Amino acid sequence: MELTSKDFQSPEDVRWCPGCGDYSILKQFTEVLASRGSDPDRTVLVSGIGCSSRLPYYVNSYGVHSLHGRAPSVATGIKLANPDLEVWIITGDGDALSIGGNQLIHALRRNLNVPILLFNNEIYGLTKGQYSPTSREGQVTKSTPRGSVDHPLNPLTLALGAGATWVARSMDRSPAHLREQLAASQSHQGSALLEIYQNCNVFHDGAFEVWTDKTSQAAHAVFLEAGKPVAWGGSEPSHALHWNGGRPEVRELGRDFGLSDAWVHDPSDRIKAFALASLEGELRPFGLLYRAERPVFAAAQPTEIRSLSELLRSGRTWTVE
Amino acid sequence: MESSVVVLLAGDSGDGIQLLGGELVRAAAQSGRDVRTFSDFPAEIRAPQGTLSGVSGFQFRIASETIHEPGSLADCLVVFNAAAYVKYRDRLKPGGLLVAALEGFDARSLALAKLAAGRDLLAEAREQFRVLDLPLKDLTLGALRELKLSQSDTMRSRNMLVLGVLVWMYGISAEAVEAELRSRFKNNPGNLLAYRAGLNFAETLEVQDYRVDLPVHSVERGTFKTINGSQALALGLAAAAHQLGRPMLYASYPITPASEILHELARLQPQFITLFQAEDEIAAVTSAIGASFAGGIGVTASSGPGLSLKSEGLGLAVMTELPLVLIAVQRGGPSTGLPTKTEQSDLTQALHGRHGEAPLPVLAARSSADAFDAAILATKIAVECMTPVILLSDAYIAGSAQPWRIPEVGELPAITAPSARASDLPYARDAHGVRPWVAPGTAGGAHRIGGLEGEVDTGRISYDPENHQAMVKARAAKVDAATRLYGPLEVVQRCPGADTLVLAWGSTYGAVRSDMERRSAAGQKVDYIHLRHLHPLHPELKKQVDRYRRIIVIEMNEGQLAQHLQGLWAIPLESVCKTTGQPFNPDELAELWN
Repeated sequence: MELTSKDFQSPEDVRWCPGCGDYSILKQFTEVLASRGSDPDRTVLVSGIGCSSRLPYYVNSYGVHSLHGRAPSVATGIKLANPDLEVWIITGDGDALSIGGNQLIHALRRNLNVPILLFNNEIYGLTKGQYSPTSREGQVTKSTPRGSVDHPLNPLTLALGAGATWVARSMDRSPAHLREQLAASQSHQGSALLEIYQNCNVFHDGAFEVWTDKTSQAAHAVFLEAGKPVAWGGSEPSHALHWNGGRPEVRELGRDFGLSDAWVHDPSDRIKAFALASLEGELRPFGLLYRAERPVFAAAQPTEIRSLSELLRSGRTWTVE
Repeated sequence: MESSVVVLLAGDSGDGIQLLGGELVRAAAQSGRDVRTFSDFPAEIRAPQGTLSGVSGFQFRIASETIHEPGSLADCLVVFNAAAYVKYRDRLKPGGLLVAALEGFDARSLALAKLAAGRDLLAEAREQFRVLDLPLKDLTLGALRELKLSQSDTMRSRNMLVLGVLVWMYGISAEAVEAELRSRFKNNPGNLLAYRAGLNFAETLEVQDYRVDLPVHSVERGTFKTINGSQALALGLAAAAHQLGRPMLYASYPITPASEILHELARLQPQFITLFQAEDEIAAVTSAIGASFAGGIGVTASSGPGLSLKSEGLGLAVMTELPLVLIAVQRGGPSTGLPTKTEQSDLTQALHGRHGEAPLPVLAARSSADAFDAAILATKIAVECMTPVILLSDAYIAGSAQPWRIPEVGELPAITAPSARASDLPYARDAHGVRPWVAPGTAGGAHRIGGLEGEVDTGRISYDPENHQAMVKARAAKVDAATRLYGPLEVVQRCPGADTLVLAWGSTYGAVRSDMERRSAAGQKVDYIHLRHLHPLHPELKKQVDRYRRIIVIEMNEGQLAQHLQGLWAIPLESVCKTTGQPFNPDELAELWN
């Protein structure tokens, strides 16, 4: 029997603020689970603490709402105990990049076979509006009334640096793009880090508007596609990137520089993925930046199987008759 | 005739003392003596040779009767250098035997030990002790000459020469040791040659006067091996996983002395245990919790500061009511403290060191061999009560060895997992207050758990005041009901008419028991109960305690159990304690109270 996204809705009342970007993510997520034939009885959502981490309560599957920052570790234990389960990690910028930074990088470098959905809203929402590790310099928050002096962390370069084998970005306000990335993250064998720009309409409203709003999106969001030029500007691209000896350059498309001169996106190229991930200004990439194949994390198998009785008697023993 | 002898070996970390001592005690046990050991070593891996800070010690006691501890002062001290003598001379009985490797008392050795040049330490020693001058270097060079090895390679066999001397001195079967060395050092004939040279030296020359005859002790039948606490815990976990019949995840982060359990499990590769060396203490405990959610049993271990790092994880395991075993191998603290020394100072943390109302069962191993049974019992309580459990061990238990009768698999206790019916509500409770254990993959069982307070029965998020009160009580009652899994309360020593009771727990067992036996033999009327369970306490304990006028609590901390019991019972207790990083010995206990 085919399931619909309704079958993945839990009986809990959803308790995010009205207008929160999390609603869209939840909707796209359950649709992807349904469309891809996930089994609620074999699916486990693991989260840490924060607004994003409430998501498992709202999905009809197995779920663990765990400790702040520790979802990757709980997921690791689940996968080690039963590698056949479909496990997802649901986390946010505070959860994954601040208190849980260590857990995140080690899950990535081990290539734990789990998609990691990182809801980035550049703010601590559930604790009511302090600056987060992705908040921008100068950002005014409750704990930085005169502007944040901290330099933000880039989740994509961090993931690439930690050895992630699948790195992508999407946003709450592009449902089709988000569903596509969620589905792709699920297909990947290994750690798939999907950063999702998520609007916190209460504490940091409009943070990603320049990329999510229809009027400005074309000029600032680069939607990546493997084998296609890195170009943007609308259905007829106006600009493209030029790989100038390792220095990405923005070029206006025209007679001097055509689409055929542009940098062609190759998700297997880690150096270029770093270059794309490093675009931290008004121009930002969306979609799959990087994908690699590497054995997934699994427990070492014993080289020798011994019964308990043999094990207890191993080593030097003597017998008193 | 002597019934037991205490020997203390001391030298540099590189002198092979642990190997020498381990070989001796195994051979002694195999030849029908009871043995106990105590390792004392510095926290540094290779402290500078010949210096005071580089000295490590290995004490053992061989007996022709049942013993409980490795003894107090040594009858024989074997030193490889002057620094070792200076560090341990106070541990040798007046008139005891000092075996001194002569080359370790030359001018350079004296300088390394920060002693004045020209000082004749051995002459001074002769005023207090009998001294056996052992030309260890010359004997070893002579024995291995035909092998034409470099001097440094030759000197590596010095410990085996000492082994030969001691085997002869204590009447251990030389043939058994030789057979063992032959199989163990197939590619190192030097060790065997040195061993034989030691035997010959002892037999033909100097050592006649020092020979001690220890009659063979009658021991129970069975198959035995020598085992230390780390090995016993590893085997106990393997047995527990086998008895449960579900996968076990052992997740830990390197820390002294708990790491030895990980090493042992990595070596043994028990088929039901998956090992995970986590990136930190927090990942270790939370991955173990993940494994338990997935229907396996999560186990983690740590020491000192690592235990503190895991306390948030314990809160989650209490709240989610998942089984978890945390082995706390205590060491001197706080902070990095004394990483290689023993203490019982994490009891208060184990009992109370969590946020919120978070009771959980706490039990303690009392000896190396007992750690095997304690690991099985801890797992049984965790699973059958769906709760995290703390099993307390310590650095002393971890590193000390004793003979262990290997049990038959059929003798091991059963471990029965609670209901896994998908139709049960996630937090519905059985007669003992235990919730079901429905793992992902169970059809129709999908449910969410987490750190937020859950509603009675359903486990769904609830901020209702009455519900929280009910769940706090339900979790505590479930832990209290763990006492159904306890055996009868053991009174280790009972003297008719005694009005004094001694209470102790954990690794003090051996020393306290020996002290009790001595007091009893001297006519002092005193009873002794050794606590296996620190929480919940044995249901019979208070009734027993109320029969005595005077209660003495002995522990290696500043009185943590005494304070806990006073809080529960509001009765006067006398606290006998020390926090030196060294275990109690019976001589010391005899002085500490009357």
